[in-house]
Amino acid sequence: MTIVAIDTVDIGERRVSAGKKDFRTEPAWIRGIVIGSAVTFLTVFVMLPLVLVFSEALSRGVGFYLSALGEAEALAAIGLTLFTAVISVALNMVFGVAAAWAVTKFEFRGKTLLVTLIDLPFSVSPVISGLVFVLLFGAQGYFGPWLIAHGITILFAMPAIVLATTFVTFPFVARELIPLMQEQGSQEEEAAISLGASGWRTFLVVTLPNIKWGLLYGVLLCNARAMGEFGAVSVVSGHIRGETNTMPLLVEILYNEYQLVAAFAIASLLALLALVTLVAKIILEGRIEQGHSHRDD
Amino acid sequence: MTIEVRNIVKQYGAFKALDNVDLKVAKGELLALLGPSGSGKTTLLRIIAGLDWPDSGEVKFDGENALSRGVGERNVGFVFQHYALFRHMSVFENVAFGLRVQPRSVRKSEAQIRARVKELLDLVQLDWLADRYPSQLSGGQRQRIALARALAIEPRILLLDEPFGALDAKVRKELRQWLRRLHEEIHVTSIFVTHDQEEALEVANRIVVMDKGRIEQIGTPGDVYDNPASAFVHAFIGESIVLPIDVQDGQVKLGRTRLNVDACGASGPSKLFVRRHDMRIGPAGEGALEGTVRRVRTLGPIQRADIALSGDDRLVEIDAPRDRPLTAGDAVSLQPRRYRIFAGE
Amino acid sequence: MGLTLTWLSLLILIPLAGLFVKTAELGFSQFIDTVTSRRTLHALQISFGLAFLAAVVNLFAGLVVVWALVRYRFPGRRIFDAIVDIPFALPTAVAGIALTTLFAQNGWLGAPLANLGIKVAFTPLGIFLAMVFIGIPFVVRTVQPVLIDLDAEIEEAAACLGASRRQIITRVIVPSLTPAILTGFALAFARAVGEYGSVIFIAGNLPNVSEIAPLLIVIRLSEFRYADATAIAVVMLVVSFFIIFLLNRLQRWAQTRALAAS
Repeated sequence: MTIVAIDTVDIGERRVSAGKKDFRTEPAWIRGIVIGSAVTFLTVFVMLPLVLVFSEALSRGVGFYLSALGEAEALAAIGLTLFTAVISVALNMVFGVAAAWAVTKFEFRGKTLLVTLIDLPFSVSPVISGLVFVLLFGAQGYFGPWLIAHGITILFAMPAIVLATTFVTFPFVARELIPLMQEQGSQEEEAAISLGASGWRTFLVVTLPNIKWGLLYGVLLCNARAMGEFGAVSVVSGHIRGETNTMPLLVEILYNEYQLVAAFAIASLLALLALVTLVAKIILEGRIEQGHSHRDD
Repeated sequence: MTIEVRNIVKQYGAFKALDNVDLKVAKGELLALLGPSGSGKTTLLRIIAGLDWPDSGEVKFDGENALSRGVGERNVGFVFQHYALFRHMSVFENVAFGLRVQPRSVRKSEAQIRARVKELLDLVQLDWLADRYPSQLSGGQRQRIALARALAIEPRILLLDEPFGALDAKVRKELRQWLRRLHEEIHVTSIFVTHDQEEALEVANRIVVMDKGRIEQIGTPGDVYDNPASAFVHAFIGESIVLPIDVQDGQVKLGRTRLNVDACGASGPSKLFVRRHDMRIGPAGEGALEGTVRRVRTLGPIQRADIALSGDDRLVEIDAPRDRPLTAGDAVSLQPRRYRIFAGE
Repeated sequence: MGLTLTWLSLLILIPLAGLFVKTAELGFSQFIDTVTSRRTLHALQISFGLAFLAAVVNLFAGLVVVWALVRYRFPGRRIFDAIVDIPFALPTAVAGIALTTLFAQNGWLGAPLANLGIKVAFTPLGIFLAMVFIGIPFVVRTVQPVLIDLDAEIEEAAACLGASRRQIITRVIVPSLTPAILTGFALAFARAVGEYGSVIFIAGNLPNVSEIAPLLIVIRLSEFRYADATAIAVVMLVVSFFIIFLLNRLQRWAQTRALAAS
C-alpha cells in the first residue's frame, strides 16, 4: 500500500492535501520570498511611520505629551476640528442619502453625469478644492465684493473651513450607499408605496433600516476624512492661531516651528482616530456582510 | 485505457468520504458514478484525475501507478459542472490552451494547433463560435466547448463531474444524447459523475452506485434496475414502493396482515421493495394485499392510482395499464410480481 | 430629487465652473505662457512623473502583498491585512510629518540610508516615497476581492490541461486580474498626483527641483496670482478627468470579459 497524501497546504482560507509538485500553489521557497517581501514592504512603509508617530509623541514622557495637548491652541484646534466634522458629516449624511436615493431608485437622464459628479471631489486634488472656494469667496473672488458689502466673512475663517471640508468629504456617504442600494433594489419600497405609505414614511421605515450599516460605514469614513483634511483647509483657512487652525493645520505649524513633540502629540490623536476608524470599519464590514446573506433568504 | 482503483480511503477528520473503494474500468467504456451528495463520487473522480489525493490505496492506469504523477502528467481530460472556461480567452484560445502550454520540445506548430482546434470545434459542432467569448455563449454551448478543450490534449481518459448539472432540463436531455453519441464516435474511456439516476441509466455502459463512501453495486443499467443488490440501490434507482415488514419463521407480515410472499431469506424487521409497475392489480380477495382506490390519474399510456391498504391506511402509488380502468372507491387486491426483500430498518 | 440636484449644482458645479471662468480671464496665449513656464512645467513634471513611478511600484508591490494576503497563511496575516488601509485612513499631515521624520538624516530609516550615501528627505526621492505610501491601499484593495473570488476550478482546469504552476499564474490568473490591477494603478496614480499633505513635508519644495504642482498652486494663491493658480489647476483637472474617463472604460472592458460571476 502506498500512502500518497504528502502534505497539507494552506491556500488562503482552504486547507487541501497536496501531492508532490502540486499545481495549486508555489514551491515553499517562493512562498517564503513572497511573504517576506510583502511583510517587509508593509512594515517599512506602514508600520514604521505609524509607530513613529506615537514614539515621537511620547519621547519626552507622558507628562509633556498631556500638557502639549492641553495648550490653548491645541484645545482650540481640537474644538474646531470636531465642530467642522460634526457639521460636514451631518450635512453630507443627509445629502449623500438623498443623492444615493435619487441615483438608485429613479431613472432619469443625466444619471451617469450625476454619478461622475459625485465622484469628483474624491478624485480632485484637495488643493484645487480649496482653490475653488478662494475663487468664489475671496476678496477678488466671484462673490467677494458682495460678501464684503454685507459684512459676511467666509474665507480665512471658520465658515470656509466647514464648506471646504464638506465639499471634500461629500462622496463618502453616497459612494458607500449607491452600490448597497442598487443591490437591494426597489422592490421593498415599491411594495410599501403600493400599500399606501407616503414617500417619506417609506424612506424612514423601509429604506433606512436596510441601509443602516452602509450608512454608518459611510459616515465613519466621512468623519475620518473630515477630521484629517489638510490640503483644502490649508488653502482656505487663514492659518490664524487659535482661531482658524484645525488639528492637521496645527500639526503643520508646530512642525515647522520645530516643536516636534507637540506636533506629534496632536498627530497621535489623529492617528488614534485613524486606528479607531479602521477597527470600526472591520466590524461594520462584518455587519454589512451579514446583511447580504440574510437578504438571500 | 483501463483504470484500476484499489482500497482507496479518504477521510476528513471523522468523516469517511471514501471507505475502501475498489473499481475496475474497462477500456473504452462509459461509466457512471451515481449517488446522492456526500456519497463520495466526486471525491473518487477527483482522486482519479489527480485533483485530490487519497489517504491510502492505489490507482493504476493500464497497470502503471498513477499516483506517482501529478494531474498535469496523467493526461486526463476533465470537464467541470460549471464549465471552468477561461473567461478572458476566446473559444478558440480556450480549446487551444492545452496545446499551447505543452513544453517546447513536444509542442505542435501553430498551423497544427489551428487544425486540431478546428477539428475539435467541428466535432462539437460549434466551429462558428471560435471567436466569441465564453460570456457570450449559452450554458449548453459552454459545456460543449469545455469538452472540446478537454479532448484537445488527446486524453487517455475523460472525466466529467456532473457535466449537465448546471443546465436546464431540456438542454440536459439533449446533451445527454449528444454525449452518448460522441462517446460512440471517439471511444475514450470515460467516467462521469451524476446524482440523476435517469441520466446514468440512459447514458452509461455500466453504473457504479455509491452511498456514504462505499460502492453499493456495479452493473449495467439493466442489472442495477432489475436486480438491485441492496435496499439503497432499489430505493435510489427508479421509483419503488417500500413497505416495512417483519419476517418471523419465514412468514412475512405487514402490520398485522400476513402477506403471501416469499421471505427471500430475510428475517426480523425488513423492507419489501416493489416497482410501481410490478404490482398486479386484481379484484378484491385475489392478492397478497387488499386495499381501496383513493385517486386515479392518467399519465399517457398508464394510469396511476393511489391505493389505501386496508388495515393500515398506508397509501401506495401503483402504475397499471389502461385497459382496465380503475375508479376511486374500487376495492382491489395487489400482488407483487417482482419484488425484493432486504433485512434491516 | 430636486433637492439633490440643487445641492450638487451649488456645491460642485458652480465652484468648478468658476475655475474655468477664472482661467478664461487670462486669455488663451497667457494661459499657455503660464502653463508652459519653466517652473510650472517642472512642477507638473514632478507631480505627474513621480506619481506615475510611485503607482508602478505600487502595482508590483501591491501584487506581491495581495498574493501573500489572499493565498498564503502566515502569523500576523490579519494584522497586515488591516494595516493596508492605514495610508488611506491616516490624515495626510500626520503621514507627512511621520514620513519626513522617518527618512530624515537622523531618522530610523534615514540614518542607515545616509550611511549608504542616499539622501531621502527634501529630495524628489522623498516625494516618490511619500507617493508610494499614499498609493498602497489602491492596488491591494482593488485586486483583493477579485483574487478572492477567483474560481479554484479555473486553476484545476488549467492544471488538467497540462499547465505548470508558472503557466497557470501567467496565462490564467494574472490575465483575470488585469482589469482590477489597471484600475488600482489608475486610482493610485490619480491620488498621488493631487496629494498635498503627505508630500509637502518631505519634499524640498525647491522650485524646479522638488516642487509639486499643488504647492505651486498654493504659492500662486498667496501671491494673489489667482489666474495663474487656476491655470495650473485646470491642467491638473483636465488630466484627472481623462484618468476617470479611462477608468470607466477599463471597468466596462472588464465587464465585457465578464470577470464578475454571471
